[in-house]
Amino acid sequence: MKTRPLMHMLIVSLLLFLCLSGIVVACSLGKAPIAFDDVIKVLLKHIPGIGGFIHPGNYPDIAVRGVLLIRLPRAVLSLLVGAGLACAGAAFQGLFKNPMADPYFVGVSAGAAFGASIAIVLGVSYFMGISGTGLFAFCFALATVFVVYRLAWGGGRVSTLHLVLAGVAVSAFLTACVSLVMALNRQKMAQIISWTMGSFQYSTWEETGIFAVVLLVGFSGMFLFSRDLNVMISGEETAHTLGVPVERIKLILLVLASFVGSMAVAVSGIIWFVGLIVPHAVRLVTGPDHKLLFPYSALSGGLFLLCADVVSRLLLTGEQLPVGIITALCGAPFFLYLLLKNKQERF
Amino acid sequence: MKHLVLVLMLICGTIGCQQEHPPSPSGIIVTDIRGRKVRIPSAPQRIVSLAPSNTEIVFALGKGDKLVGVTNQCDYPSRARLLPKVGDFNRPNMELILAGNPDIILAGNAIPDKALHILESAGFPVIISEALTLDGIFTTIGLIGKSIGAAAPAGALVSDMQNKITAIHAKVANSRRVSCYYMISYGKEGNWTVGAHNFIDELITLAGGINIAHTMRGPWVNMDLELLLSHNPEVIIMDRSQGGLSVLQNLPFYNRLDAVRQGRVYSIDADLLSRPGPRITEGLALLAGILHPMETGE
Repeated sequence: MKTRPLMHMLIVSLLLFLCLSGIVVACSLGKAPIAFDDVIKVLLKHIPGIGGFIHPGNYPDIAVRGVLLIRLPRAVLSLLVGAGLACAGAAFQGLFKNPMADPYFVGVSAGAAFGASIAIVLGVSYFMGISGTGLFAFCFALATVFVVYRLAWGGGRVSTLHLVLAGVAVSAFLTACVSLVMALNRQKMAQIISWTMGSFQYSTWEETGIFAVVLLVGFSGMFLFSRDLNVMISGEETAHTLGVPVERIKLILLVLASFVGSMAVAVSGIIWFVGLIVPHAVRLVTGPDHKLLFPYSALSGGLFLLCADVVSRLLLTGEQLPVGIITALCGAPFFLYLLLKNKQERF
Repeated sequence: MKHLVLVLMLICGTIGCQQEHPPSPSGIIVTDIRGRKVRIPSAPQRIVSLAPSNTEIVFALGKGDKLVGVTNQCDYPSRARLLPKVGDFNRPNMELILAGNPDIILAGNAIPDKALHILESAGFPVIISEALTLDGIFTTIGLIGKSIGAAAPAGALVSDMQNKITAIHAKVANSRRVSCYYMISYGKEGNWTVGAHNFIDELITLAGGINIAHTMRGPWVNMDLELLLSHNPEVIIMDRSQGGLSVLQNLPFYNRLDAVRQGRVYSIDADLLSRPGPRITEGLALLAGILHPMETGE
């Protein structure tokens, strides 16, 4: 932000404004007949702190239920998960110096899917608004990252190459385990598959709150170490000589990004491509400076997933398309574009 | 960064302001099939049903005109098909339920926990009323009757059903029990059948049959084909959507069963037996007719 701080401030404010108006728009779109001015009234009335001083007039009860308990948690959660996935993706891409890295890179998605399928088969119930499926997914995802990290550890450091290879191998193994679980429990197969596609259909305030806290911690940590990450990108040796504790920062960032990624999977299922394409698109604008990359990625990732989720629930009548399908439909072509671009550069 | 923290704080703050609609003190409290106590309005005018059996019961109690939403699977009676749809029985759509603005929701067992949580926190009274046992079917009919202001018709329906069941059972009670396999699915889908903890098992017994999976626990069982072969049922009952005798004649294992060789495979409308609603008496009559054609005069 040193070069053109004013411009960056403006862009960040603009993105923030877009996110907030996106939430308002998301709250006013849907099949239930809730008038736009009622949505505004309900939202105004419930802004914490100042809501008590505002008397926007009467609104029907259905508006309160619909906006506050069904649409708003969903909109906020999709925004936060988008932000989290994009940040985690940016962190992994920086850590591994690999443009194809995403928040699920080191086995998060496969671990989560395995945990979720076990929870679904066992019929683990839920408590405090968090589903047992989400809880299992989160624990298994974190455990998987830990195993992958241990496998890649050697000689006092973690080799990025080994991390990637171990991630791929463990992911493949766990994916096979998920298939095995599905083969043995065919009656639960549809449920497992629909979980892996990712959706915000049943978003609760409890999950949103928990994710908000995780994201806050994760983002602050990543932002704090963004300068060190910048140095590390220019080469780990260089960073080491400049006094950057490379291994420790690697570990911290890895833990933070995995934590955010695992929690995202736990609350929404697997949503591909957000964590992959958003940091890329942002990097085209900001360049490789992680100090800009993290906040920009968070805001645009949130905005992207919020929009994708609104599209997913409005596109079909009666059915709700899993949001993961929308992001994959948008993301896959972009991914291919990157692949082709990389190829041209290499040869 | 500052902005973001502020937004997050705002968001965290919003979470605090959700519990503001205590259920109205009027109305009655009912206990649903899972033992949950739910306060409902005394005479609901807008009902959403999240299970085909609930829809059938509401119609049978003469309150079909109060339904403002049913699932995509609710296809009986035919009038139910014309009602607004609120998603699948196992994936109800919150937005569509909201659009119906129900004052009571009759859910099935397949309702996702999170969906139940959201509906309840939004102040919709949700009653889970899908039975797993024969007795449970009578209980849920009574429960639904009480909940939607149709207690008297519910009592009449239950005693009518019980009379019919007794009459059908009386015809076959002294006959030899016919071994029977109830096929839910076969092949790649898994060889699913009903176990001991399922009202279909009870219905097979009442119809003068014996479910070969009766010794297996659980409402549904994935049958081992070797075991199926060793039991060698005399009769196979399957849903007509799964095909019929000709399909089984070409399936390994199945084509070695006596029921298949002797052509005693019956494709029926399985909804009559699998939906814990008023039509199980029709299902029972059908079953008794298949198992004991002589005694029932079929």
